[in-house]
Amino acid sequence: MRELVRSYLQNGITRRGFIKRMVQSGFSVVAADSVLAALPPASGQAQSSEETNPFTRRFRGTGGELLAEQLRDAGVEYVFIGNGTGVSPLCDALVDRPDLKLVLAVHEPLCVAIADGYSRASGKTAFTMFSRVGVPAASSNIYNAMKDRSRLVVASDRIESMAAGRDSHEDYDDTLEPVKQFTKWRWNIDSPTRIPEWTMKAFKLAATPPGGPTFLMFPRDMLVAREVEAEIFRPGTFDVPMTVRPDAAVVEKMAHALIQAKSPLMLAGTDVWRFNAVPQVVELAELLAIPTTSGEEREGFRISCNFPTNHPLFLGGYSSHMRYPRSVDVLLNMGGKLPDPGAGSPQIPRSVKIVDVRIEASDIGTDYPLYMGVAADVKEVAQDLVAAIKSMVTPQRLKEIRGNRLEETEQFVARLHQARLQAMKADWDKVPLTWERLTSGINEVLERDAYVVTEFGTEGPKALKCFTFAPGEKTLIGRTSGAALGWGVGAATGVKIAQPDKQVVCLQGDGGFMFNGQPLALWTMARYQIPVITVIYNNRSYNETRERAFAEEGRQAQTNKDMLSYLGDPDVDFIKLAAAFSVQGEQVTAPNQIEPALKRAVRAAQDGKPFVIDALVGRTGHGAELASYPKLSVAEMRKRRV
Amino acid sequence: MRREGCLVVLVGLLVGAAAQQPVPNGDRLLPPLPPGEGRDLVQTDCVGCHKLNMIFQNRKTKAAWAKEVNDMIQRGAAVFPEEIEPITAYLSKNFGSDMPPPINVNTADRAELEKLPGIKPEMVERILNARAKAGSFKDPDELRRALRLDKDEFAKDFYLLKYN
Repeated sequence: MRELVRSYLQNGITRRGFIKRMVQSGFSVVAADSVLAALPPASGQAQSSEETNPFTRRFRGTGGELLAEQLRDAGVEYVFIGNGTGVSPLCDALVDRPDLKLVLAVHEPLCVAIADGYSRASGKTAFTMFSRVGVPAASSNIYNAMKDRSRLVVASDRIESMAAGRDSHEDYDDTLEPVKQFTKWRWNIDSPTRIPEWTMKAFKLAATPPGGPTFLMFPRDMLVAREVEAEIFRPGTFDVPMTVRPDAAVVEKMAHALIQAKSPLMLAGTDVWRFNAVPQVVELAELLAIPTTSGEEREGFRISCNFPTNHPLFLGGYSSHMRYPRSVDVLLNMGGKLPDPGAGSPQIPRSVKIVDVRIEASDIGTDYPLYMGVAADVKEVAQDLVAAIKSMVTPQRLKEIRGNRLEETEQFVARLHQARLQAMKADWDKVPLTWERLTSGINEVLERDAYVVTEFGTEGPKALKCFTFAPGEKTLIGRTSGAALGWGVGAATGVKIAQPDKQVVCLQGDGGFMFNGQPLALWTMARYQIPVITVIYNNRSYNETRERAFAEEGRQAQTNKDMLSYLGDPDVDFIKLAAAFSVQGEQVTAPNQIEPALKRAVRAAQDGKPFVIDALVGRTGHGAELASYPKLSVAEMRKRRV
Repeated sequence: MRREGCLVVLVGLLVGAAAQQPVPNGDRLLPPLPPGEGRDLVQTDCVGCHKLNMIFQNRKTKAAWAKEVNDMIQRGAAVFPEEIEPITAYLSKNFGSDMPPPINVNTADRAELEKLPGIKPEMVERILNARAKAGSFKDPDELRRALRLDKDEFAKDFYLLKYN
């Protein structure tokens, strides 16, 4: 090593050459870096063209190392990984790169859910890799990620290139087809020297708004290839800022429509959250006192907080028959999906002038005839609209436009809130617990700025109304708009990794908990000391499914038979299930148990331990009283007791 | 004081608007809701979230309807406090547990039709004769016209029939 140091200091070798030779001598890259850091600068050493190149750097190593190096320069901190021999070359590379932290999940859908939660809570693009045979299983959560435009790079291995296409071991034809519908872009790597390039492209496309998962497939020979030299794209060289501003004339026309509107309504959608535009959108709403709604909430699929739920102009969910404001004449959609037109009369009457602002240009104008379609960043639009309106009308005129709208909205919402409290108290002490009683209790104990990750069905809105979601208040993540069950607990795991200093609670229905191997997320929580509080709303039912099925008035409703949705018998003991993963937990069956159990959960989390609460809640709606299912006993069918 | 004044005006406007502009049931196969206090509230508040078939197909006690109404409010139904009782009373009166389940007017026999409260044997006879002539009724309006009834009379006594 002494010779090496001398050679380096006397300009005999470069930094890269020094590290390479150290590694060849048996030292790790980290150790070599440490030695270099302790040395004085090599006097008079000329910088190589590589070191002066601000855009790329050259690296020589295995395919796995090339991938790891590019992940580093893409800003990746965590590699969410699933088991598989084919991912080993990447794991080999991670041995000497402790800055790339490996988090193992034991089922592929969880790898994706954890990465998705991490991405949503960090704002970063997340990377996950697992075995090729796990791709079909993972596809439900890749689908969820695509529906919500999550920034994910998903990767898998593949059989060696020379063996592909022979229906070989763990191989299938058209390997990219299973994820084609659920990814923005997908690629089969067929040249190890281009691993960084395609990885860079996957990150670039996943992150560029509208985001979405991309997929890379690495044949095994690509990652195990040795002595491959390639360019690594440096940080920032593939970022594409999307601060898209509308044309001034477009802004003026929008402003004019809002100024002239007698009864405007604003829909705050997920772009507001994605572009961190809540303050700007609130300022716009306040400027003209525009009542504001969240389009997705009524169906329980609101995936984020796009407008402060405690703001006096916030109405809650959109309805095709809004009680207030009546006779909406202008609907300003700021970055959300417009309500599904449905099969009958459109959810937004044809008389309404729709101004549809979204970054996803391909979706604008496909569902409704528009007064204006604007493909732009909602933050820029809100800012420009505020400036334009202020320049177009006097303060006195603004006051006249606002009129009593703020007071009317505030009073309307207060009345609804009063009715909700009255309704809530009616069953306040009931056993089994109501969803709202349980959630109110949770809200009482949680920290003000906790992260709330949810995966509920139609009961979701009842629970969500118990929280205040706003900047400085709680942050909502989930449910996914894709609604493929088996996402929540995995996602909460990723959220906590992204936000270790925030309290994270996962509110999860029991039906969804049993999808996609979600209990196995507790394994990851336990191993890596990820202190998430998971509350399972356990009504032993797919309540949403039963309600919708019975509403169709088919044979189940006619005969009052629940064929599908009852989940009791066996009554799963989720606490024992958690204990199998060394995760503490307790069951809550009565209102007076909520607070003490939550406080114990909070203390466990403070001690760095995950905690599970199995809360028995009531079923609601048609057929709620049914606790039966079509019986079948294979044991009784037997002719031999074997 | 000013805020309370605004509120009274607002509530008055909203209830008035609801009474003047009943919204469609959302399904032409569904009959009009029977008249009575609370009808306009049900028609206005419930269809914001779901079709009215979820009401027509159910029979519940007053306590069960109260629970249902509370549940809907928790989910986001735009109902004011003073409207909870009229809505519950309307639903339990017209769709109470003592009411027969929906009767298919196209297949029901005389005995079934006679279970309809408010419908006398002579009207059952008229229904059967009209059905024999028409073959079947595809929706409530077709039946109403066949029986030559005005809309109010039809809404009062024929809402427990179904057509599919």
